[in-house]
Amino acid sequence: MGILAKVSIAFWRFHFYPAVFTAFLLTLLFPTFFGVENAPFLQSAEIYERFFPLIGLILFIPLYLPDSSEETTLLIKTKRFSYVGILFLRFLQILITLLLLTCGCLLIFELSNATIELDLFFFSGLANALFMGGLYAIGFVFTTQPVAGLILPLGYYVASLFAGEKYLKMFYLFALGEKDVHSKLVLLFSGLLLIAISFILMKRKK
Amino acid sequence: MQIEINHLNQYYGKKQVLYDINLSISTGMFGLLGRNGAGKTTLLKTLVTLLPTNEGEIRMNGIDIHDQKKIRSIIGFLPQEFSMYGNMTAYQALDYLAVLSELDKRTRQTRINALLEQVNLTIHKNVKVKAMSSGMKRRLGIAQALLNDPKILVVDEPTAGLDPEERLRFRNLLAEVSENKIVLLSTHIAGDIEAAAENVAILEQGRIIFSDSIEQLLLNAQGKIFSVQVPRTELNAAKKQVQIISLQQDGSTSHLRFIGNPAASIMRHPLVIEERPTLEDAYLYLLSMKGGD
Amino acid sequence: MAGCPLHRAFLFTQLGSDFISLKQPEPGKNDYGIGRATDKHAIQQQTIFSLLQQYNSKGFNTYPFGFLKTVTPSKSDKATIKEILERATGKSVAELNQAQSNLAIENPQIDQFALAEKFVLAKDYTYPAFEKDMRKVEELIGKGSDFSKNVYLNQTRRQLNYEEATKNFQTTLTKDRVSGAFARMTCDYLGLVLALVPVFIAATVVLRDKRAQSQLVIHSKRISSFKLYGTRFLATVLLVLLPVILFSLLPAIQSVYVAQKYQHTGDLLLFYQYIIGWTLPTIVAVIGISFLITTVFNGLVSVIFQLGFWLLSLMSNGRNIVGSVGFNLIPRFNTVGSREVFEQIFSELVINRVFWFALGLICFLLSCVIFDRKRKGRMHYGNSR
Repeated sequence: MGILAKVSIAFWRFHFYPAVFTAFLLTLLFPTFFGVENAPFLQSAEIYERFFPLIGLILFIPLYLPDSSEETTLLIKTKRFSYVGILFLRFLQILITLLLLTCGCLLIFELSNATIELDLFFFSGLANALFMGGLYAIGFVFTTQPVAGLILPLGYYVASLFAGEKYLKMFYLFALGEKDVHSKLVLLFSGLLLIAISFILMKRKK
Repeated sequence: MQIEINHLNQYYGKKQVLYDINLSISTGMFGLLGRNGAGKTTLLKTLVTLLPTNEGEIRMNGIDIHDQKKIRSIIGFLPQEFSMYGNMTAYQALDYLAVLSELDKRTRQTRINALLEQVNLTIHKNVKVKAMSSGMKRRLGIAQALLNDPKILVVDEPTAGLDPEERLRFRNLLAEVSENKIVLLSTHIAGDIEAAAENVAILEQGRIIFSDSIEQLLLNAQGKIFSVQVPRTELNAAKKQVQIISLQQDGSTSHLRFIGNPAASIMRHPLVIEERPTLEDAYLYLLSMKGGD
Repeated sequence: MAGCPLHRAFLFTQLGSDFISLKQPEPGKNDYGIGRATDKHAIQQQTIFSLLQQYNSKGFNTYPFGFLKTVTPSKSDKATIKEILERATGKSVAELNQAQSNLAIENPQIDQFALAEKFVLAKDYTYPAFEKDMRKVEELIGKGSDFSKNVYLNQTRRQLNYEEATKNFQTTLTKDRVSGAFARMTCDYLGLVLALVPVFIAATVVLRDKRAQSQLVIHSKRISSFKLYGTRFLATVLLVLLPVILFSLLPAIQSVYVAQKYQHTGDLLLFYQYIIGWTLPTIVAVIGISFLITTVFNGLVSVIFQLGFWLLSLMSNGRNIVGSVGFNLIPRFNTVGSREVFEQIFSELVINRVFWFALGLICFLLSCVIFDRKRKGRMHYGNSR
C-alpha cells in the first residue's frame, strides 16, 4: 500500500501537478467566458463539448511524459515494481482527477443555471476525454514524443469540427447535442482500449 | 552464487547478435571485454530482463531468467546511459528507485544515506539530477544499483567519460563492492577490470572468443609483446610492419609497444625488448589473433 | 425563438459537404440564392423585424465569441426597446404582433423572408435615426448581437433574381476568371488548417537537437545562430508550403476547366497569387511564433498555445464567414464569387496579411536572439546569467 502511495505521489510531484493546475484553471474560466448563464440545452452542450475534451486531453499528457526519456524508462523497467503497475497508477490518478474535474465543471454549469442533463453530460465528458487520451497514448507509443503524440487527438478534434458526423459517424465527437448515448459508449470503450494497447506496447519497447 | 548461461542466442528481428553464448560466472568481479558493437550491451540487457531470451537458458543464483520479479530482486543495474528525471534531487531519485525496488521505509532511509556516503554524494544530496556533472551522475547510478543490496551487480561501461581521478575512485568503489557479490563489468577499457577481476570473457562479433582467468589470458600473450625505441622518422615504417599497442614520443624518439610479428624486420632491431603483457596487451593480442585488424 | 433564420450562420462550417463549384444560373427558377442587401430600407426593415422577434422571445441573441449567449434585458431596458420599436414602425407592439399573425394565417407557408419584406416601417423613420437606435440597443444588450452595426450591415439579405444572379456569374467569369473565385474559397479552407498544423512541425524541428542530444556539438560549431535557425525556419516554411501548393493544384485545374466550359480562360497565375499571398503569411506567423515559444519554453507549451490561439481566432470571426478579416489570423471567405465583398475588404486583407507576415518574422528573429543567448550560456534554465 505504501509503495502505491509513494509512486503516485512521485508522479504527482514531478510530472502531474502542472497539468492539473492548467486543467483546473481552464475549467474555471471557460464556462464563464463563453456564457453558459441560463443557456438552453443545445447551447450548453455545444460549449461543453467544444472545450472539455481539450481540457481532458491536457490531463492525459502526463501519462507518458516521464517516458520521454527512454534511458530512464529502461532503468525503471529493471526494478522489481512492475512498469505496467506504474502506468496503471498514473492512469488511475488521471482518471480520478478527470472525474473530479468533470463534477466541478458541471457544478459550475448548474450554478450558472445552464440547462444540462447531469448524468448524460457527465458520461459524455468522461467518454470524450478518454478517447482523446487514448489517441494521445497511441500516438506517443509510436513517436516517444509528447508533441507528436498530440497530433492524433487534435487531428481528430479538427476533423470532428469540419468533417462532421457524416464522415466520422459513430466516432463523431460532438454528439452530445443529439443525446447520442451509443456514440459516447463507443468513444468510452475505444478510449480505454487504446490506452490498454498503449500499455502493452510501451512495456514491450526495447 | 552463480550465473549460468547456456547456449544463448539473441536476435534483433532477423539479425542474430549473440551466437551460442556459454558462460559460468561466480562470486567476485567478472570482466566482459569487447569492442563496441560486439554484443556486450545486448548480453547485459538480457541478463537484467530488458530483453527477452530468444534461445537458450539463463539461471541466476538458481533462478530462471523468466521469473522476472525474483530476478529483479537480486540484480542491480547501472546502464551505460544512466539518467533520471531531471527535477528530482539525488535523494529523491534514490528514494523513488528504492520504492520501485519495494524496500520498506526504514530500509530505504538507512540504505540511501549509507549509499550516498559510500559514493560521496552526501553533500550533494539535494542537487537536482539535471544540474549534476557526469561524474556525479555515475556515482548516483552506482548508488541506485546497490539500493536493494543485490547479489548480482551488472555494470555497463562504468568509466566512459570520467576523468582519471573519478575513474580511479570508481574502480576502487566497484572493487569494494564486489567482495561478496557477482559484479559483471562490461567495458572496452581493460584498465577497468585489471585491478579487481579474476576472470574475463571476451566477446567479438557476438561470439565468446575467450572465457577464462585473466592469468590465462596473460599467459597466452607471454612472449608476444615487445617494445622498442626508434627515431621518429622510422615510425611510419614500423607501423606498417607490426600492430602498435601504444606510442610515446620523447623529443625525436618514439617509444613503441607492439605485438610481435616474426616476419617483421623490426623484430631484429637491436633495441627490441620483450615485455610482460598487461591485460590490455593480452586483449589486443587475442583480438589480432582472431583476425581483427 | 432561438435564432432568426435570416441570420443563421454556423460557427464551424461543414467542410466535407461543400464543393467548390460554379454553375450558370438558368432562367425560370424559383431560387437564385441569397445575396447581401445594401439597400438602406431593406436593412432597416429586416433589422427592426428581427428586433421585434427577439423582443417577443425569451431573450436576445448575442454571439460574443461565436457561441450563442442569450441576454435577458432588465424591465427598464426592455421598455426602452419597446419604445424604439414603436417609434420605428409608428405602431404599438401589440398591433405589430397582430399584423404578423394575420399574415401567417392568410398564408401559412409564408417564410421569414417574405414576412420581413412585408414589414412596414414608419414613413419618417430616417436611416440616421435607425443607426442611433441600434447603437442604443447594442448598449443595452451587449456586443455581438444582431444589432451591432457591422452585423446588421453584413447580415441583411435579399433574394437574388435571375438578372442579378447572372450578373454575379458573369463577374466571376470575367473579373475573377473563375480562378480568383475558386482560389479565395480554397484559401479560406487552407487558412483554417494552416493556423494550427504547422505548429507541430515547427515545435519538432526546434527540439530536434535536444532529443538527439547533439546540442553541444552543433551549438559549438562556427555557424551563426541566425544561420542555424534561419535555415531551419526556411526549411519548415517550405515543408508546409509545398503540400499547400500541391493540394491547391486540384481546385486550380478545376477552375481552368470550369472557365473553359463557359468559354472563358482560367488563370493559374492568378490562382497561385491568391494562394501564396493568403496562406504564406499564416504559415510564417504560426511557425515564427512557434519557434519563439519553443525556444523559450518547450514544444508542448507551443502546441497548447497555438491550439488556444487557433480556437480563439476561429471564434472571433463569429458568424461571418465571408469577408471577415480584421486582424484575425484566419481571414474568412467561404464562398465562390462575391467579388464585391472581396473588393471591399481587399485593403483590409492586405494590411492583415502584411501584419501577420511581419509578426511571424519578428517572432522568428526574437527566437534567434534568445537561442543565441542560450547557446552562449547567458541563459541558465530560463534565467539570464
